[in-house]
Amino acid sequence: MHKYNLISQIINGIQNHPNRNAFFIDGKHYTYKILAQYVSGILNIIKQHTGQAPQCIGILEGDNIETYASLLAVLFSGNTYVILNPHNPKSRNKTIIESTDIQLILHSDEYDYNLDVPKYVNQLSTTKVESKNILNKIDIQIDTDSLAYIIFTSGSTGVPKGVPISHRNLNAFYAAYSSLNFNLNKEDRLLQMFDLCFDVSVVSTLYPLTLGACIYTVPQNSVKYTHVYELLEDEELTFAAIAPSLLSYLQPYFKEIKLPKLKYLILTAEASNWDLLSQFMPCTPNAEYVNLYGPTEATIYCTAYRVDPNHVDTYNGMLAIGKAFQSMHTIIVDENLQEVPKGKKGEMCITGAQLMEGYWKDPSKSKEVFFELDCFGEPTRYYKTGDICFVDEKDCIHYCGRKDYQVQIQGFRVELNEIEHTVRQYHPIGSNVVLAKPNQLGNQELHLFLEKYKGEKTVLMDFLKEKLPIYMCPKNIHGITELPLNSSGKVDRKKLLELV
Amino acid sequence: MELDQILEEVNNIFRKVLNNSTINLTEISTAEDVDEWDSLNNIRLITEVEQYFNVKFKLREIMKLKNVGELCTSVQTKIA
Repeated sequence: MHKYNLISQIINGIQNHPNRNAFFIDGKHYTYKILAQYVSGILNIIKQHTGQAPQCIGILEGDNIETYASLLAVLFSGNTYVILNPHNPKSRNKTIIESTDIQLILHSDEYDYNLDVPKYVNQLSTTKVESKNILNKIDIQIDTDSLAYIIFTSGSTGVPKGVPISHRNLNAFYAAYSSLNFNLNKEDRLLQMFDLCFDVSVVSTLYPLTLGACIYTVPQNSVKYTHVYELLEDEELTFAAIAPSLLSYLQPYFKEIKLPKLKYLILTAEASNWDLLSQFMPCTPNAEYVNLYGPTEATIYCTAYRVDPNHVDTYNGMLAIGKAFQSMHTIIVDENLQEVPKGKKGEMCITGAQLMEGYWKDPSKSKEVFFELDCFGEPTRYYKTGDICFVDEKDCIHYCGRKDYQVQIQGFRVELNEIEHTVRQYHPIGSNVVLAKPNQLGNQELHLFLEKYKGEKTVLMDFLKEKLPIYMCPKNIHGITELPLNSSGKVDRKKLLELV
Repeated sequence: MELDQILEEVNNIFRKVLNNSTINLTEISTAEDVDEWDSLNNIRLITEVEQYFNVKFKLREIMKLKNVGELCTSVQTKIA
């Protein structure tokens, strides 16, 4: 068994720790044995409804053991999981189901939710499927080229882009992540606060299982910061990967917070403000902080920066993103795709074993983001991240912002064009522009500027909620007679931002 | 102040902060019942409630509030 085969190591974790707790969900513990019983029950369902060839299986997300067991069962079966968020608009889930040719959807009866799917799609409940089998004799042979999951991110044409990640990608990630040498074992208690549609959830869910440790989950669509803090304090969590915006919510209460058991605080999904972190540090006297960066296309994380509070590397107050993972290589290029000298800003491009093959069924989009460069004498495929970065004299990478009109909202990468496109479907007259501006807590908030709109804002908002995930719906709608233009005739986005 | 009265004032605060005049909270309402009630708005709501009633909540207290009724009871205890 290969040391860095993630699936094999998860099975080891399950088999070696039957009586330890694997999950803590909604106030209830589930042991590895119970988890294994759910997984084998669901594996049976999958085997009954699928053939030899790998296929995509939809999982309707819920904060429950059935959802997590379904995810593992799909991986163990050699198929590909695709998460469907019940809070997403039906049309978005329908697009995802159709584009991945999903014929089987696993759900946990948690929501009174009717998916809009073709009749041939089997929708099967995973409740009451526990089996007596506890994975002792499970024979798992997974082709490393097969896909582990497809995650859908925002796409500029109004259609979400599918990012397919293979087991080979995932194993390369696992090897690199393990080499960060976190001092963790079966006694540790780790946080999983991310929506399963967001790829940080993959490591937050799968990695602890390789250790025989316990995962503490947070319900989605709730007031998250209070839930997260409750778990951190009451359950004495030792490892937490969080989005830095969470800390901005907790900031008014820093003086009340004491988390002496926390060993690691991972900052991810957004740029990390050092000033805010340094104020939080006294709350976690025994924790090491690590800033982890990576696009979904390169499997979760691909650079790491370990924070030494005495020598912090920052740019514009934001923590550096550090150095590339072991099987990844990064370069910074100019507009002509030529590497720029150290200290100069440019677009960061990455290559390596964690990089996806290309977007799901979208060769033209893939062509846009990949290019070839000679690397060590070999033509090598690089991915253009769209992130503007530079490398400092210590070879440490700094993130400066996005190149295009993408922004990070609550950790999700959002193409502003996709929102504008959706607004045009409702209001085709005149132009509209969506911009992000930090609110009073420093978190990005979306503003829609709309020409010639005389209708009710709430009606438009209801339409957007039907079509877009809630994090993509603008918080504020501003009616405007005419969008201001700059000297080159383009919409003057700076001027618009000054208006709010 | 009576609980009913506090609930009515809290309703007004929610309608104003969440910019939605159709909100009608009851004692058993939670964040699940109101679309706009997310983490950021929770901060805004708590701050508004604190200012309006001239009270202060600790993080622990906010965490333990399970519904609007408990928020109102907590306000009532603090202003008594």
